Amino acid sequence: MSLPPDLASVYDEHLDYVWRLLSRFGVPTRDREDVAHDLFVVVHRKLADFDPERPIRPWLAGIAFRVAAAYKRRKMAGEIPSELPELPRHDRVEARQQAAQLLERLPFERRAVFVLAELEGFTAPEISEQLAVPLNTVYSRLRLARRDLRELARTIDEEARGVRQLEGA
Amino acid sequence: MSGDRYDELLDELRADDVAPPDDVRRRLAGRLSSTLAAGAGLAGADLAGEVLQELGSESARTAAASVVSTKIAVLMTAAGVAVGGVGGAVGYHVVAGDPAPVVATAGDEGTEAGASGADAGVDLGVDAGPLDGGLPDAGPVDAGVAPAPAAPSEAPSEEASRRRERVLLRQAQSALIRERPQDALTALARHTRSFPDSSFAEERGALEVQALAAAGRADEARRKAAAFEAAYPDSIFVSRVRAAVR
Repeated sequence: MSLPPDLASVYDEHLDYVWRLLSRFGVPTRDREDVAHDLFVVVHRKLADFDPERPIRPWLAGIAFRVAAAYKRRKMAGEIPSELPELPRHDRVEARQQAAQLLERLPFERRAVFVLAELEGFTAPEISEQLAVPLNTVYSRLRLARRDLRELARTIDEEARGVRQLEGA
Repeated sequence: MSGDRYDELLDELRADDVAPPDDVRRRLAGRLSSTLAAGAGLAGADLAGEVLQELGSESARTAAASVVSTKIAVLMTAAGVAVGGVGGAVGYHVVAGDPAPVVATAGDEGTEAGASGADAGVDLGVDAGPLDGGLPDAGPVDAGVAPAPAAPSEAPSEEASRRRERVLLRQAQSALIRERPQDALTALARHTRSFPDSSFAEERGALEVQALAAAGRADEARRKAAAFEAAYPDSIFVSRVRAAVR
């Protein structure tokens, strides 16, 4: 059994990309395969509406956002087991893992805009279009996400200083 | 906090590139093939069904907004509000798109986002402040005190009245986005007092259900939701209202 040719092309070329997006949108490894499955079902159903003259990645990002959002809704509703991450300790956690955990603490909408703008390099109008939110909302969420992350990072720094002082005492 | 720390954080996040292992890649393709071969393409793919429904309703909503020139359309984009219990506390979670209806006025000049695509939300051309940021120009929401009704001789123009309505509804929407459901409820109460026969009652009703649910007032939210469905059985917001009290 094989995928329809048009879907197979998207799958082969962009699976890594949507996998990364789902990760950055907060879908954990445990559930990512299932969520990616549903994402590609949506891609399959909507591919005929996609304008091939346009770049496909923003369009895929819009679908990834919605599927991740639906996943989050279920998780919040208790339909999917959830655990709250603890604020990581600077001295105990690898920097990358720590960064990912900080991202996890952002509200979902801010996180999504932050990921698309700062990590994936999309423009605000692209994000506005694909997430179906007003442009000023995109800018606002990005600003708030940056602020949140700066505050979280500052908290980590302060904790780390406290740990160092205790260790030096 | 130093800027360096934030930059380090960004570098780590950018470098954190994950990819599916080969066995997952193969297995997922197989599962997908089976799902699509099974028929409608939705068997075992209920997240997909939900998203497809959303995408469909967004298209319908955009079409509806294009023919309404003065009425505020409340756009429930890929949005949702879920009330969930975490650690025994009832929490309000923004889960997708805009958590609150996005108040938009079809036909307003100066839309920023709506022009770029059929699925894009339409933003207000007036009174527009950052949706996630501060509230627009109506100032802080003060609970409990009804604004003094304007004397007949000072009755605002129709346009001023609509503007005022939009401001209040946007306050409610903004408060919901900022996870301050009580502020949203206060703004909605002010709207109800000031505009009891508003043509935007449907939008207000949908926001009320979401705000009550977000505030943890589940019973009231459910009652309001039932009343909303009875009053507006064909509303484009019914699914969102249901989702809020699910």
